[in-house]
Amino acid sequence: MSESIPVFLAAVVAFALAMYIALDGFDLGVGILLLTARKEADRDRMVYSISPIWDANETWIVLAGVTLLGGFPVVYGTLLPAFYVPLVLMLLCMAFRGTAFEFRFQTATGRKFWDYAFSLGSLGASVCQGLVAGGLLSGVRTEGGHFSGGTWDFLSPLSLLTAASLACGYALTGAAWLNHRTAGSLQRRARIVAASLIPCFMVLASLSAFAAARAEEKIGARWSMALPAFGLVLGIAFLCAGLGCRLLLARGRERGAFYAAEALMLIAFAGLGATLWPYLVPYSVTIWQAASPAGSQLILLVGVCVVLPFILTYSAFAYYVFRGKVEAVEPFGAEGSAGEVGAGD
Amino acid sequence: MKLDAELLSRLQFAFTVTFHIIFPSMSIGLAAFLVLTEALYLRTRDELYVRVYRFWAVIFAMGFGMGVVSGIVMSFEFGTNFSGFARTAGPVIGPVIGLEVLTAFFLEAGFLGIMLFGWERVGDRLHFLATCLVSLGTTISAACIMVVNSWMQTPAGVRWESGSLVVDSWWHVVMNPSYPYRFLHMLMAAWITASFLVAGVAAYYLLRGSHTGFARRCFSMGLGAASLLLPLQIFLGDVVAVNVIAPHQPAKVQAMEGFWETTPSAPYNLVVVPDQEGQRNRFSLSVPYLGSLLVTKTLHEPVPGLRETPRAEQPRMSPVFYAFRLMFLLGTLMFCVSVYSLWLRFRGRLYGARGFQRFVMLLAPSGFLCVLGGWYTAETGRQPYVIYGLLRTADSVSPVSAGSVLWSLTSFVVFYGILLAAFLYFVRKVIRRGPVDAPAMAHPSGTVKRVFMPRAAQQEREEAA
Repeated sequence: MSESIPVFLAAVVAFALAMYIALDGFDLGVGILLLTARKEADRDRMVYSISPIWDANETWIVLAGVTLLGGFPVVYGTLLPAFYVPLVLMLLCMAFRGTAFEFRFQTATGRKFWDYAFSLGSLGASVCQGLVAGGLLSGVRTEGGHFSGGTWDFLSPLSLLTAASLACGYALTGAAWLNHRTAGSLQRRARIVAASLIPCFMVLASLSAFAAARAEEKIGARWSMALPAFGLVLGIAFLCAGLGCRLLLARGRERGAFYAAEALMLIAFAGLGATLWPYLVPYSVTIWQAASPAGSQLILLVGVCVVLPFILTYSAFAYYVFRGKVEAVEPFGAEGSAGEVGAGD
Repeated sequence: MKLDAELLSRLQFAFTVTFHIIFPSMSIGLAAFLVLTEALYLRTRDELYVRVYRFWAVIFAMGFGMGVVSGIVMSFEFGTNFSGFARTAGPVIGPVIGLEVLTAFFLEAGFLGIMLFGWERVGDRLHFLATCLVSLGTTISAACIMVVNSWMQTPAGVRWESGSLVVDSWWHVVMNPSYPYRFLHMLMAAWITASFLVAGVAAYYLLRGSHTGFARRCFSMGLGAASLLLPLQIFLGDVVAVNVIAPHQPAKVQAMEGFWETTPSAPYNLVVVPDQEGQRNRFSLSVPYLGSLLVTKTLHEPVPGLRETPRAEQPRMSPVFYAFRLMFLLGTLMFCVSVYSLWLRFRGRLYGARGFQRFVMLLAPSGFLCVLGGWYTAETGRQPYVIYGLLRTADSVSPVSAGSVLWSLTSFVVFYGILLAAFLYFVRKVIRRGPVDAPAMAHPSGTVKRVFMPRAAQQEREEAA
C-alpha cells in the first residue's frame, strides 16, 4: 500500500499536467495566433471565445505544482531552482497575458498594446514550458539531493526543439478551437492554419524525440530495450491522430478535429511521461525517493478523489453555458467595441 | 548587509507579496459586496442595484485578474527562491494549499465566467448562485492561506524526523493557536477595505454632483458596512495582538511597541529611532501611560521590551514598529469616521456633509494601507524565522545565483510596475466614466432549466416574447 500511494499521487500530477496541456494549451494557442488576425473584430472574437474559461484552464498547472509541493517536496525544491529562468519568465508572461483579458476590454485606443501583450505573453509562456520539458529530458544535475547545476543548464538544442514543438502544438489546438467556435472568414483562416500546423507539429515532436534519444543514452536504451512495443503503439496512435485531424478538418467536422488535435498533444505528452518514468528529478530522484510522509500524501490523494469529480462537473458546465459559435458579447462596461460581428453566423 | 541570493530573494518575495495582497483584499471584499448587492436586487427588484453590481463587477474583475496572476507567482516562489522552505514545510503546507486549489481556485475560476459574462445566458437565480460561489471561493481561499501563514507564525502539530517535518495531527496544524483569530481578522480587513473603497468612490460622485442616486446607494452601503465591521475588527485586532501573538511570539509584540527595556507605566510610542546594534532607542516621542493602557489594560503594568529576547532571535524593530503604527493609527481613524457616519446618518445629513465626504474620498485607499501595515507587522516580526522557532529564513534559500535573483527581482519590479500603472489607469477610467446606464435585466425570470435549452429554441422564445 505505502508503495502505491506515491504512484497514485504522481498520477494526479500527470493528470493535472495533461489537463493543463489540453485546456490551457488551446487558449495559449489562441493567444499565439491572435496577431495573425488583422481585423480588430476578429481579435475580439478570438479573445471572447476563451475569456470565460481561461482562468479555470490555467488553474490545472497550479494544481500540478502544489501536488508536487505537498506530495514530493524534494522535487519542488530541486526542479524549481533548476528552471529558475524559464519559470520566472513564464510567470511574467502569464501575468501580462492574464491581465490583458481584462484590460483590453477597457480601452479602444490601447487595445492593440494589450493584444501584443496577450499574444507575446502566450507565446513566451508556451516557449518557457517547452524549455522546461527539454531541460527535464536532458536531465537535472544534483548533488546530495540538491540542484547543483548552473543557471543556463536548461538551454540546449534539445530544449529549443521541445520549445518549438510545444508552441506549435498549442497553436495547432488553438486553431482547431477557433475552427470549432467561430464562423465566417475567421473560421476559414483558422482551418487553413490548423491544417498546416499538423505536419509542423508532428515533425517537430518526432525530431524532439529523436534528439532526446541521441542526447541521453538512457532514453534511447529505454525505448529500444524496455518499451519497444509501447513505443510502436504510441507512434501509430500519433500518426493516426494526425491523419484523423487532417481528415476531420477537411470534412468540416469541427468538434472532432479539435478533439483529434488534443489527442495528438496528449499522445506526445504520454511519450514524455513514459520517457521520464519513474523519475521525478531526471535522472536521479524517483517517485518513491521523493515521496513526502504517507500522511501528507494520503490527505492530498483523498482531497483530489473527493473534489475532482465536482470540479470536472462544473468545469464542463461552464463550457456548456458558453457553447456555440462566438458572438461579440461585450462584458459589463467594456469600452468602444468594434461593432456587431458574428450576427447572422 | 551583502546583496546575496538570500537578501535578494527576501526582497523579491516581499515585493511580489506586497503587490499580490492588495488584490485579494479587494476581491474578497468586493465579492461579498456583490453578493449583498445582487441579493438586495433579487429581493427589491430595484434596478439601481443592477447598476451598482455592474459598476463594481468591472473593478472586481480587473482586481481578480491581477490577484490570480500575481498569486501563481507566490506559489512558484516557494520553490524557485525558498527551496529549503519547500522541502521542509512542503509535507505540511502542500496539502493545505492543494486543498485550497481544489476547493477555492477551481470554484472561483469555474463560476467567474458565468458571473461576468453570463447574466444573459443563465437567468438571474443561477447568476446569483455563481456570484455566491465566486465569493465563497475567495473566502475559502483566504481561510486556507491563513492556515498556512498562521502555521508559519505559530506552528503546531508537527515533529522533526530526519531533517524534515512530519505531521502528527492535522487538526493541530489547521487549528494552530493563532489561526481562527488571524483568519477572521484578515477577512474583516478585506470587507472593510472594500467598504471604504466603495464609500470613497461614491463620495467622489457626491462631491461632483453626478450619478447621485447611484452614489448615495453606494455611500450608504459602504459606510454602513464599515460601521458594523470596524468595532468588531478593533476588538479582534486587540485579541490577536494581546492574547494570541504576545504569548506565542513575544519578540514580535516587543518590537511592535518600540521598547528595548521592559517598561512599567509605559507611554505609547509614536515615533522611535531604534539603534539595533546598541539595543536602545536614539529618540522616542510618546504619549504617557497610553502604552500600558493599550497593551495591559492597566495604567501601571509593564510593557515588555525587545531585550527580553536574545539578540540572535530578534526581528529588526523599525519595520515591525512602523508597520504596526500605520495599521493601528489608520484603523483608529477609520473607526472614528465610521462612528461619525452613524451620527450623520441619524441626523439625516449623510448626503449633505461635504467636508465629511471629502474626507471619506481621501480614505478610499485606507483599507489597503492597513492591510499592508498588518502584513508587514506579521511577516517582519516573525524574522529571523520563516517558520517561527523551527526554520530560519537563512536556511530556506534556494541554491540559485545572486545574479539570477537580481535579474528576476528587476524584472518583477519593471513588469509589475507596468501592470499596476495600467490597473490604476483603468480603474480611474472606469470611475471617471461612472456607472453605465444598464438596460433592465434581459431575463427577469431565469431558471436553471434555461441553460439546458438548445440555443435556437431559447432565441426563438426570446423573439416571441
